[in-house]
Amino acid sequence: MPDGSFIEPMAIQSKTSSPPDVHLVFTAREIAVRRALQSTCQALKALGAEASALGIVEIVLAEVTNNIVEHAYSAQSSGTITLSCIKRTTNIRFEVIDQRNMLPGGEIPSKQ
Amino acid sequence: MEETRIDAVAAIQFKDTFRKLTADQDNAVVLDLSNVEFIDSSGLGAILAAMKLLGRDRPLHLAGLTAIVAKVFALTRMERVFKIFKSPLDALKINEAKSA
Repeated sequence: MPDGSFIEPMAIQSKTSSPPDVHLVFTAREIAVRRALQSTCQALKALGAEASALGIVEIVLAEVTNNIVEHAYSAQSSGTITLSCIKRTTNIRFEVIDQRNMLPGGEIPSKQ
Repeated sequence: MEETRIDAVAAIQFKDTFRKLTADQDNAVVLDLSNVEFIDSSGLGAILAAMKLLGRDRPLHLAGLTAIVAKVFALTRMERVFKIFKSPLDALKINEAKSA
């Protein structure tokens, strides 16, 4: 099992500095995704997010980022995922960016 | 194997270990999930694969779901696919009562 040497948390900023609260750049691989999810949830917990909300956050972020690993990138061409989030009083805002394949037509596919 | 997550990282190892542990038997299987703190769609897929691996005559029951795991099973309606028990002991008791 590889260690975490290829995950590069660029910075987890405290709330006193300028936003975002969490900013991670990591390799698009499952083990790095796992560590990024754990770091994000730890940081949000420290910022006062509720446990029940964190559970949902982790479920959704896991699906989004694992989709990137599986579909945007491939075994042959991995790259990085950038995950930022800002915790506000009533919500948490997330931004997830990859550098690979676009959705067909640049749009979310319609339901079949 | 000491894991608290059944996620994209652990799914294959989970399936392999499950296969080894349940081979050469023909009884029902209870999967104790009380130490599992997180599961994603890969993990759900692995549990479904485990169920299929056992075949029709060997039911797979689940026990000890933590809050977040229960939530994932509810969200995906997978809770309807399995018999879910509070603890492995409950599952065994019911199994014994059936065969008594």
